[in-house]
Amino acid sequence: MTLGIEVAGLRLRYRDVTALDDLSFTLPGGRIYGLLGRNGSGKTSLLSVLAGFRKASGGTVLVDGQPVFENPGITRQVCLIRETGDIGDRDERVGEALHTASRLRPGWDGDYADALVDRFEVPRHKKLGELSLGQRSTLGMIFGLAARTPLTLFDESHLGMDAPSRAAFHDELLADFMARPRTIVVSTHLIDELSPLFEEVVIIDAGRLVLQEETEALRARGADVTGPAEAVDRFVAGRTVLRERQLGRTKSAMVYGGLDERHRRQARDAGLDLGPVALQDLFVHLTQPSGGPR
Amino acid sequence: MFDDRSPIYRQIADQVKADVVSGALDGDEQVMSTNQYAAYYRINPATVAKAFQQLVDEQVLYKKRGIGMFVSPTARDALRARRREHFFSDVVDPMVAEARAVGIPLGEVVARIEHLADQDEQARRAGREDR
Amino acid sequence: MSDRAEDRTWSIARLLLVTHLPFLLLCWAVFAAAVLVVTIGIDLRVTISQSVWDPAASIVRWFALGYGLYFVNRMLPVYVAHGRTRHEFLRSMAVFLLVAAAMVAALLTFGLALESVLYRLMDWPHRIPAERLFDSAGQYPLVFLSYWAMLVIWATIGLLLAAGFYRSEGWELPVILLALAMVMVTGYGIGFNGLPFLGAVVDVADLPLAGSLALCLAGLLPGAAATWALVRDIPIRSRVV
Repeated sequence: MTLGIEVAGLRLRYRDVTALDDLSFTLPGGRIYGLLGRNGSGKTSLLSVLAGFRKASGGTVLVDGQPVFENPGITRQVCLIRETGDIGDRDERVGEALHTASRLRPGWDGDYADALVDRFEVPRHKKLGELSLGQRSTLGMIFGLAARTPLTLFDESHLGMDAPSRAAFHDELLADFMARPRTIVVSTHLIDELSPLFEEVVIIDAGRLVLQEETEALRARGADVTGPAEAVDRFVAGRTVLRERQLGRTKSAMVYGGLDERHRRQARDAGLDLGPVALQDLFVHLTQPSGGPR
Repeated sequence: MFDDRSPIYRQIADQVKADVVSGALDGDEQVMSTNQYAAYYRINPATVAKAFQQLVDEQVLYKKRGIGMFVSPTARDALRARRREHFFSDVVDPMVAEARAVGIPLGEVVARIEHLADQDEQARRAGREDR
Repeated sequence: MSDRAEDRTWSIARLLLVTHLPFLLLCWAVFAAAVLVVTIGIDLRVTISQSVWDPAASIVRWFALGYGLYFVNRMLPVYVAHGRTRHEFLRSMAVFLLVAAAMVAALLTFGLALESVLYRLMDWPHRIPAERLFDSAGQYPLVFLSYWAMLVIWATIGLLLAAGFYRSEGWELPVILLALAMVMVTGYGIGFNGLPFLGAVVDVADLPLAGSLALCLAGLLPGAAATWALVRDIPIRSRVV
């Protein structure tokens, strides 16, 4: 069971802040999506609205073709994992929090939750407030997996988890996704580490959509052109240049837009070196305050 | 693991092709399923599927419905032939350019190649087969 | 779990009752023991001339208020985090409150009756505070109704205050004012003065029962309506543990 997401003209305002500004995109279901954006870009707001935690100020949010907010048929199919405080109190024990989830969530898989708690060695008897940051994040991700919801959202849920824990978790996430396909959206700052998991990425900035693209296609779109400054300038003329760096007479320009075979030979013939660009670098320059690609 | 910069599906496809050419994967041998690949390398199965699709388009792999992906029996020869086609433009010409750039006379390059050819000849005469 | 709204509401309400009723029963037992101890303590110093249980029972309203605060402040966000809607929460909460308050009210009524028996044995006068709707422990329906109304109203005040403070955005002051108004109005209705500094202006004994009940509703309904209005689209904030 996979759910699609349709967002049209979405606006979210609270106090004086416009968190989401005329945001529109469509995500067909059944994939793992990466939601990328700087701090304050609106990622958390977007996820909150998708899960019905907040009501949109304007526009529509449809999951499986239906509005989300206060719609029990839909909200019970969505799970958003953010801070641990969502799941229970400081004084509640891990075991109690799990029990509450099992009673409130119809599709909750208690056996799976227990297996994960044991495997990731989360102390069941401890109170939530006594857990370390890494343990809290791990517990949050366990909740997200055990909920087995057709739409599962993770909002930077791996804060505090060390690299081996994250790796173990991503293995688990991937395995469960392959066994039970669903729609998963992961919001993260660890772009290069997580991007191999994403089939598509959605980048938002200042509450608006920057792009939505298949990850591999986006990866192929960046190229670093390095060589003698004049040759580089000639080659990149008329192209979208995200960043330029110069050291002495050698210049390096990050180009956005993809280079076909013919252009690659041209570059080689001109004595230029072509290299790939990491997704994280592309992201940094696509979301620059100065406006991104010219 | 993969270089996290260039498209992963391309890296997977290149790796499969390298395995086919080297003989690590034989003709009509089944390759790992997309899920197995995805789990092994911790990547999205759709990326693997994309790589496999490219390999199918390039006739390196073929699909047996309900069973999985198999190496085409002609793949090895075809890939080697393709590499032969581009050998001079992709390998020899750049080598010559490099020799020129670092100041090695082409005569020395030729001498080296002839030396290696002699070694080949001696090995063949000694009865050992060269693949 | 079935899909019908009624089933969902009932199952959650049932869950809450199963979880909380034993706890409330235990609380009552502790309360009863405490009142007994206090009674004995008073007896050692002065002659007992009035009920101890009833004034003590009126303090339980603060406990009910605490429950209301707890429900909105703690349970509502967890509900929504686990895929439930605010309306499901409000419905289950309403059912739970009415039933749980009834149980506690019944226990308090029972306790008052026990006390009257004890007082008769000890030959002490079992005087009930004048502002109450009832004037003896034997008026079981009236005693029960008074306690029940008190608990429901004060729990609702707790819900209201928590909703206003959680939602913030300037709702804090309005809910405090509304809560005070509720206390004053219903206080006259149920015969329990709301807060120590609000003296009863109207002599409740003059009001017919129907008038008292009307005052209760007049106080309760706006509070409940305001709570509903605040909660039904309340944004759920992220909370760090």
